[in-house]
Amino acid sequence: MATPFLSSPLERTWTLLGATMAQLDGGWRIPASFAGSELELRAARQAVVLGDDTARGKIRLQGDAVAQVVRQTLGDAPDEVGVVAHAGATEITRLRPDLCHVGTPAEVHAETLAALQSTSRDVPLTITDVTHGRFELRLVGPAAPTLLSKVCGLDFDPTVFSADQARETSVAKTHQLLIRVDAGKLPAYRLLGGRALGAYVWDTLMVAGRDLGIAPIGHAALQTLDG
Amino acid sequence: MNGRRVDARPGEVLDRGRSLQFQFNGRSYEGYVGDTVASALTAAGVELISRSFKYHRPRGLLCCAGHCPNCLVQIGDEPSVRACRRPLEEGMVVEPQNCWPSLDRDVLSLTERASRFMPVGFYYKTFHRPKVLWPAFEHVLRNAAGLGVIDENTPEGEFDKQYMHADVVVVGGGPAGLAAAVAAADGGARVLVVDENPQLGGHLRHSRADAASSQRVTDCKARLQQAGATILTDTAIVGWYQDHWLSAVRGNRLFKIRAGAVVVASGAFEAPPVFAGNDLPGVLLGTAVQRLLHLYGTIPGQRGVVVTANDTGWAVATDLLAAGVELGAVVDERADPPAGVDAEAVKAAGVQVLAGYTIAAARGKGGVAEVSVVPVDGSAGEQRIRCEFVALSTTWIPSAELASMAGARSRYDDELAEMRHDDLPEGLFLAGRAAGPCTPEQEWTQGASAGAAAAGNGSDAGAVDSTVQALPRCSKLVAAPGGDGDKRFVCFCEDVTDVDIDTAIAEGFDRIELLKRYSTIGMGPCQGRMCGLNGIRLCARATGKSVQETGRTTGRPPVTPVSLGVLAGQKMDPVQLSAVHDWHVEQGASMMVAGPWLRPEHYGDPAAEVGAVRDAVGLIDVSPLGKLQLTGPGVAAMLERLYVNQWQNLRRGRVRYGIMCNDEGVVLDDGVCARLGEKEWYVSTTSTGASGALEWMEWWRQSGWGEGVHITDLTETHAAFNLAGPRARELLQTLTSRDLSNEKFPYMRARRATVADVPCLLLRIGFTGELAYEIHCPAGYGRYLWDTLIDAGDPYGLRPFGVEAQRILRLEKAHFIVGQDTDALTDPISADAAWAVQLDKECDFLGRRALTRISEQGPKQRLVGFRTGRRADSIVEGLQIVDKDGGKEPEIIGWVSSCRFSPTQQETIGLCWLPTELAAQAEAPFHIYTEGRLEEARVHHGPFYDPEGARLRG
Repeated sequence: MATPFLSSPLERTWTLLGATMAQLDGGWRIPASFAGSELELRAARQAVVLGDDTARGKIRLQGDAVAQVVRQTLGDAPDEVGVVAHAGATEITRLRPDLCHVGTPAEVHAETLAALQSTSRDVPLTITDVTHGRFELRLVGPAAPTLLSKVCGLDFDPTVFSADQARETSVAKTHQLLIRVDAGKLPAYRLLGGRALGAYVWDTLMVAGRDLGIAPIGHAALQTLDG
Repeated sequence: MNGRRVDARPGEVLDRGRSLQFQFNGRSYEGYVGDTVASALTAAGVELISRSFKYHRPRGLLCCAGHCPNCLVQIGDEPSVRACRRPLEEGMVVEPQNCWPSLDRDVLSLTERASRFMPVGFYYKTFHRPKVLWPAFEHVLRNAAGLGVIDENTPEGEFDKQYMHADVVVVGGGPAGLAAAVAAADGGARVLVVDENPQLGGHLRHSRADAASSQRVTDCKARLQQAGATILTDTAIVGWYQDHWLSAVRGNRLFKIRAGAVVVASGAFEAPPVFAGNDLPGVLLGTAVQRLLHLYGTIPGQRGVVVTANDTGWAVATDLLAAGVELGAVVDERADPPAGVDAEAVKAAGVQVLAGYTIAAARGKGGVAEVSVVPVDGSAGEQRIRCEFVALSTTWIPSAELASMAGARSRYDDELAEMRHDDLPEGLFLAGRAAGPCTPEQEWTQGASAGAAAAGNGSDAGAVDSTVQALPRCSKLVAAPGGDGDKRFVCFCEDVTDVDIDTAIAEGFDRIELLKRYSTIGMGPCQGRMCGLNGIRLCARATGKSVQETGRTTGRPPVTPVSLGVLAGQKMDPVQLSAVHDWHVEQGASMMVAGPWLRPEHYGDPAAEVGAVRDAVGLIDVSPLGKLQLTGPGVAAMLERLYVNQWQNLRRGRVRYGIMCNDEGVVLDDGVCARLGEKEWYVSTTSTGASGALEWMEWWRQSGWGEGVHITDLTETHAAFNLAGPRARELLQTLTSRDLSNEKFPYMRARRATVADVPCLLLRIGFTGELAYEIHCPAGYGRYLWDTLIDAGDPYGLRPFGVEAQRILRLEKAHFIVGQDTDALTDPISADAAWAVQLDKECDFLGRRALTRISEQGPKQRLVGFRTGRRADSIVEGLQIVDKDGGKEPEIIGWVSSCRFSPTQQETIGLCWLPTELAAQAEAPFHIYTEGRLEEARVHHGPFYDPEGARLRG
């Protein structure tokens, strides 16, 4: 029997785009590179790039004690709804007073999940691993706000939607969680939506970004951008 | 000067070093980079550009501003392009439209000779009788009507939309708009400037602007750039909607703009007066002449006449004289035109000035050759003046459509002879020439005042709303006196004349809204810009009312024509794909839309797929099933209220089928609920009802039911496959260490298990009537697990099956599908699922009251199975069931909700709705009406296949 592997909803897209594939330790198959990191990074700095970060861990915490548990486990939790806090490379987004989204790098996902479950053992809190249920796309570059304004009615002006803020909104007629976590000085957004819509959202963004010079970006270049 | 091109001048947009070749009407022409199609044609001496809509009269350039219909042409596969707005391109092929066989000799122009038989509204009264001739009429009319040709083979264009946000949106980039934008930006507002022209500057671009004004425009642009304002040129605002929600179009893009405040500084435009022959090629508006001259270095002819009622006409005259054009006369309807620089220049050039005169007619064959001018007081003294063109500058219309849409009150100012706008809604400001007549300096000051107010810094009261001291700019004449019998057009788009207006009013259409609808005035491409005020004045004259009493028609978007492609935007049709979608496609599955999902309908042979499930084992991707995780101490109590079944007594590890109803007892959804722990439940819903069921549960949860309950949608988190068939256990056992024996894992149980090293939840349930396992795994493993099952299943005869096979299999078990066999009135008792309804539950539940009543009174209709005893392909879903007894007309008594040929039963079977009495009689015959004949079927009770359920429990 083959070793189990994990696939994002965009595997076919990567094949069509001729991506160089790699496999993470946890089993996720990811596109390491499309046109080469140098070209991808240039596109990110000059226009806009779209990458697939579905392999990131995604944990949903529900319950009145959510902030308390997250703070106790990860060291920080945002007080306000729509705000992102950072605990190392882990991002905590407050979606409601009683609802948090925790995004983690794939390599620390399991231990983060276990730690949260351990802390909440005696607390009426529901912790669900929704990693498999959501795709996660990354949109990076100076033209990213313009591209998003073609598929989403939000105001992306930095005075209105700044770094480390999040909104649940409609993107290309689908419900998504949009988190702005900049990559250095470049505006960057995470788009999290229902996994089954991943291919549709990817294609729609690529079409909408054509006149902005959009390019796909691989995992290696994304890591460089994130420093 | 070279023909109609004058020497290069400051401000012109031509690159005279780069020429472009193009074709029009089958002939080759040359223009320059920067030309529009119309300016290049004018420079080439082409006056005839199009034919009118109804009478096919020759038409030439009129407004040169994208307002009128006179220069509509076909470019490639794009019909009704405004030649005056479309930039010229190398090799462009431009064709005239609405003419046959050619623009010069249009046979359909003969219709004008029959115009007495085609008065206004003739199409409402003619061609009705005899009915038999209508197809012939329709054929002719359809070929004669319409503008341009649509090529159905045109490839899909690229259209998109963009949302924009600003504190202050300034509509118009002229002096007032620029001043407003700068003031708003200085006030700290985020500013967006929208202008329909390629460059900012407004009317300064095409009038004789002084150096100071030009410098002011340059300074404003620099200031706006510095302030980070967004400037959209070549962009037309097409509508205002509530809360300052604006739509705008640039090329193939639609902008949706949310504004905190709006400054309408879109200027004013000229409209032509009503006189005989006012549509002849060579009749142009004064601003059209100025645009041609100042932007494109082109004159419309060598000898012209200027007709005016305001000072701008005199500016046109001096511009023409400076360009070397001979003027036959300057005709001003004012008896005592004010003196000024322009008037002095005209007189100094020795041009005849006719004060107190206006134009009565333009004459010529295919173009203007002379004009008649007459005293406005009706006295004798007609003069005929030879000329090649006539420039009209008699009436200015404030471009304030957005204010009208926003609910501003229109008021006709008798002194100024134009519409004014009062009672502007909060956050909307009018400035500059859109607000009324004003001097150039007033435009700047008004704009600045409005901009500051829009940014929340001060009030613009007085500065914007005051009646400014500028001179009137509109003629007070309703129509020119005299004329010699040629048509006097009011609406150039629809060929409506002043006589048509009078006729319509005489027929009783004497309200302006009725008049518009009957005569179609204002309903063409100009959207009333050329004809609006003239129409109102003529209506007022004919009805004896004042213009104010006559009122105006309601302003609605779009201000300018918008293509359907722009409204549609980028194609966005969300489609959900399962984790195994790529495999289905690779295998050549026939895919079908199922709610928001794409699912495999079959893999080529649905009957064989049914056979595999019945005889060996089949695998279906059921990932679209709704999957909800419910946690908390109150889940069971909440489910008791939401479902008609009992839940409190469901033990851990067990699964139960449930039906969810609304408070009227109507079936909303169904599925199974598995109790995984004391406080953890796993609920499945129908594929298409998943989001509805989730919303329904959340609604009641947030309304107070289900204390401490958390609901998480896992629909896309888990892939789900159903492994069904007598060999399902054997196959699955090879991939898991979990004991799958009937003793350890019986029917309607749930177990966690590792399948092929993947953590899974197994539910022993099935829709197919066979031994079956529903395997739920994390979606990321979906493709791996599917591949593994397919490979492992080969020795067991495994075959993937699609939705079509599943439908047959479930029909053989007589299971209903919510939404197919039920509708918006179906209750579970009527749907033969009374066994699931626990009316004696301790707690109240949604639908209890209604279901109790139905239970007591008995349903009138019932869902029941039927069989035909034969293959009857003519029986399909949706057919009516009729009662033909008594020799009367057949009476509809029911309908077929599901129907298939059953490979297992070797006959056509189905589910149908019948009157309760008939449904209760097993084997009772009834008739299905199909294709004009009756097909017999018989009532069947219970499943058609394995009625005892031995196979699925085995």
